[in-house]
Amino acid sequence: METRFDAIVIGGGHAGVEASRALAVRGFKTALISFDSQKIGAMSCNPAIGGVGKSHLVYEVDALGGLMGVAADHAAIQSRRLNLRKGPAVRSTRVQCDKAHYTQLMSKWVSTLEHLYIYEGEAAGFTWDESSRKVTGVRMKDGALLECRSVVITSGTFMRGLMFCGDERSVGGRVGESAAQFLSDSLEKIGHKLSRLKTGTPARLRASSIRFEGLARQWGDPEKRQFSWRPAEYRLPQLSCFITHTNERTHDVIRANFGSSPLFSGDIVGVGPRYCPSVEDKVRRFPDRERHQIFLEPEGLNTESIYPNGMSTSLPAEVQLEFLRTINGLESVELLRPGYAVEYDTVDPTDLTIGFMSKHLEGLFLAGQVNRTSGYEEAAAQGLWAGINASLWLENRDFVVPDRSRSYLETLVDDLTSVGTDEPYRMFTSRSEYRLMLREDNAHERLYSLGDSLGLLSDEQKRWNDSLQQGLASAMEALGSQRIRLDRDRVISLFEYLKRPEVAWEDLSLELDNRWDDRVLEKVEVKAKYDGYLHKQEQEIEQLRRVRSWALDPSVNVRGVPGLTTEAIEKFEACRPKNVFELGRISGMTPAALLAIVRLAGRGPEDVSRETL
Amino acid sequence: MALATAIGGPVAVLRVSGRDLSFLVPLIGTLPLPGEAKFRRLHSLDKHFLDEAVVLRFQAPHSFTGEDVIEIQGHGVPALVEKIQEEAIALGAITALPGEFSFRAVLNQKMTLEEASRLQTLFAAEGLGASAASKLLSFGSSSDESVNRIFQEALTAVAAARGRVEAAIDFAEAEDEQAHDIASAELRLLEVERQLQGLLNSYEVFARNARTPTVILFGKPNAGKSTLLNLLVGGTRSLVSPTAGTTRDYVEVHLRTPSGQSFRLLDTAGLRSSLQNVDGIEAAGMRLGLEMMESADVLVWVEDARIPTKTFDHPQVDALLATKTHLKIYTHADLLGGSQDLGQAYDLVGDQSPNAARAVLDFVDQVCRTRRLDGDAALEGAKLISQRQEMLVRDALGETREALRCLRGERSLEIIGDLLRQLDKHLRGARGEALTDDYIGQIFTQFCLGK
Ligand SMILES: Cc1cc2nc3c(=O)[nH]c(=O)nc-3n(C[C@H](O)[C@H](O)[C@H](O)COP(=O)(O)OP(=O)(O)OC[C@H]3O[C@@H](n4cnc5c(N)ncnc54)[C@H](O)[C@@H]3O)c2cc1C
Repeated sequence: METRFDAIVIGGGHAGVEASRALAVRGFKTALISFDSQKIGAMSCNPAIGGVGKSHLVYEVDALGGLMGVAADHAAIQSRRLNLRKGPAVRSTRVQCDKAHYTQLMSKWVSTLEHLYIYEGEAAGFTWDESSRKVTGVRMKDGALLECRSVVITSGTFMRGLMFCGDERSVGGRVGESAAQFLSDSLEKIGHKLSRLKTGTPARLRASSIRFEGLARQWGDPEKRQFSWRPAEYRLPQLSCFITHTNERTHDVIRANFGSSPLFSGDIVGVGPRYCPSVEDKVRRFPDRERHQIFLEPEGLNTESIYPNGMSTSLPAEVQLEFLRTINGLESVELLRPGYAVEYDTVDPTDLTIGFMSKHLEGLFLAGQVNRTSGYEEAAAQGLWAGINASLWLENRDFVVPDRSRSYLETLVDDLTSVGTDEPYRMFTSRSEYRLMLREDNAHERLYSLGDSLGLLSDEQKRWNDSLQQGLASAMEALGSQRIRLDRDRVISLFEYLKRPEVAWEDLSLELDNRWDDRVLEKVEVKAKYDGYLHKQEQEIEQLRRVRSWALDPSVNVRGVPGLTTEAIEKFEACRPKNVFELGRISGMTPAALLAIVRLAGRGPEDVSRETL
Repeated sequence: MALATAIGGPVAVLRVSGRDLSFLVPLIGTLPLPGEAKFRRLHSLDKHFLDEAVVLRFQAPHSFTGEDVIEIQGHGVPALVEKIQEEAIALGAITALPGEFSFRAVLNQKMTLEEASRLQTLFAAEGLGASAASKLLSFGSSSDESVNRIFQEALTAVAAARGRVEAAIDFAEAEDEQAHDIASAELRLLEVERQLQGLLNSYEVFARNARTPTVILFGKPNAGKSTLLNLLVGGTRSLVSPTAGTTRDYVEVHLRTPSGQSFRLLDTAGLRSSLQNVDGIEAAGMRLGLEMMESADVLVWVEDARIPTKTFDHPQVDALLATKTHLKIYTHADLLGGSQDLGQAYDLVGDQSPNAARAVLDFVDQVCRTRRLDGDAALEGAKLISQRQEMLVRDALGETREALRCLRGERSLEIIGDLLRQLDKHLRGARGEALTDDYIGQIFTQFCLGK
């Protein structure tokens, strides 16, 4: 058994998978420690990948060579595009997966990665050198010691995980699995303040006990959209979902049992996500609503398990059964297992640097739900970011500076590390001020040079990208020069024509004669539709980049700068920012103080390279 | 360090602001105690006597900038003032950038950006009457409250509209259909549009009233414009500042009427020609002249009494004259032989010449009074009074209109969402909220920080 590694990733969830892959692909000998090697990349909660804002993250992970998109493509049993009636920037893909298949694929792919070693068991803590304040290894629960220079913690909902179902509580991070009881101790010892967050999941229902006849049926889109640049090798049979609703009787049962909800009794102290409320929350907060919608989603092809989306709860199991049976179609439903809430430890992400490295211990990185986020996609994106930066750290290189105008991934990193969050953070398109630029369709263009410069992309992906870009360039040229006659007097270019809201690229098939791939034409159309708006945003970005790239003299003495608090002075001296961007990230830095320092130490705009690593 | 008085007066006031001003000791002797004014003999580095001065010391944070400030009041002899500045620089002082004292005051939280911006307004608004100026300086006046209420209402409306739009985008699958109803957003935005337009209108009134009224002399060549101009300049002792015209096409001077009304007097050389033989450069000069005439408050048409005309023989000028108040001054009355009665005909060279100047000044006074360009009316009904706010509100109004257009047209929601985000940002900025990145850029230009 190997015991010395460059890097060790603790936790084989969505974050852990992407972190390990990035490290291994960049040639670092990496160990992935997880409780169960057969549950790598398991979906703890709902069976879907994507959704508004989240799908953008999946495309970005894919653009950087990640695995989430391609696994979802293969495991998809229903795929839909959301927001089709809105503009291209916010159209989003949501894919329901065969959960077991997804996990199998992930476990298999990860186990075949070169440089990656899977290590089953519980990581009970990490070790460090007190004098250099650098991480040195990982201690397993069975006492084994693994050595490494860098550790990435992606322990999800497992650190001191505590599950609630009525007044029953059990230790664990996910049903049927134990909790990581000791990892938190190490984090606290090095100075991290941990706080509790909570999340919940609904009961799982037995398909054969549900009366589907008479329920509204929801099919996926006939044309399946892929996340990944890689074509899927096969396609699983597609399934439909069903829609039903709660009613007054359901609400009465729930209301009568508020008293036995650990949420309301104060037993659960952790803060849950506002946008993902439990059903008891919904009933309490919106007493006037007559019904709430429920999607009945199959969890796979070879399972009886149905996920009732919208019914997350931690009420006692018998109450769950009682209120579920008041619902149309669920009159004689049987539970495969009851819903529950889980409460777990998280770190404050503002205690992390932009590379997700702990500010308390060098070489220690954290990613995923431990960083106070929720969702598979958010976890995967962070895992990738931590993996990339841990590998750069191993090479003694600077972290990648998150560029909000380049990706949702970096927007997330910037939000978490600069502002932090009090509730589980979920991606929304409204979190980005560059929404029109950050789209599913151009994720590969946006991130190609970053992925390429880091060596994260396979030759195949690079070739694919090159041909896509060539296609785009030639199509742009052709549509710009080819004209169309509107009426006797007006002749405009096809590109101008595409700007009209009522025209789609499909309408030009005659003129274009199948010369380009759909993917290319879609991009051209988006460019046309957003033409004026994109230009404005690009200008803004340029302006911001200029201001932020103003270089500072790091040796300047800021004691005596008007308006600077002692705290800000100490922070300045501790991190010695090299430019306005870094300066602005010092917490407690007021805009006035920032200006004063820039006046004192500013060296004027310096063209810091775009891909500052 | 900055000179606080104009060069040429009897007293020159030099101010130095900084954290530690003891470096000035060789120049001014020991620093006075805080709040004290001391008589001092100023010496150069090589111990030569320079000037006698009163030196005052303000201690941080009780000064304009919030830093220690030394004020040197010396004799207003330009060469001496220059020498003292040189000595201070040799000791380590640096010359302040434009707006730097206000900038430091903002940094040291002695005033907000909005207050600093009003000071700039004040310095720029030479036409402002005394009471209006005082009001502008009394920050936090009642007009602020009503403006803040408008901003607050607009922000609330925008937040509600944004909530709807963003929910419809980000919760595409949400069951709550109310969240998808964006019709109410339109109503709210219409109200925002109305309010912002109101603010801008009030600013326009303010800006018009706060600036110095413009008087334009025009007429055919040799009609006597230059002579009249010289008479006006010579006859009014309170010459504010003769400024050379920015183009060679006109001459500009700042004057005051005997009753104290200040005004800008422009001699537009560009309007000398009639329609005939207008070549390229002349045409450009004409256009400039016409534009200036359009925006002028008072027009003075100077014409040779020997060749009187009814019209100016230029369609655009004639159109202007038909609508704008103007005064016609006939010149060369001495050469006329007194046969015709032309009313206001003057001799610009003889004893009677001051009458022509007085006629013009009286006319300026009269127009300013009737049109309430006297500067004290400037703040009546004014809500926005700084250019900074005006710029932000103008942006916000543009975004409101565009968002409304998009809501009515087929533009998609995410574009509306983005417009509303900008709108929110600009409104917050106008209300004087925390500086954002944008703002930082703006300040960099406003305060001239480039190195
Ligand atoms: C009950 C429940 C309800 C949820 N509800 C929602 C929801 O409503 N909406 C939503 O967006 N998301 C929800 N999620 C969250 C979603 O599952 C997570 O966001 C996502 O899985 C986080 O990914 P991760 O990689 O950070 O961690 P996880 O997927 O939790 O993976 C952590 C992995 O680390 C392993 N591990 C942890 N500690 C150790 C250790 N010390 N040693 C060895 N292995 C370790 C675990 O075995 C696991 O494989 C829910 C999760 C749970 C458990």
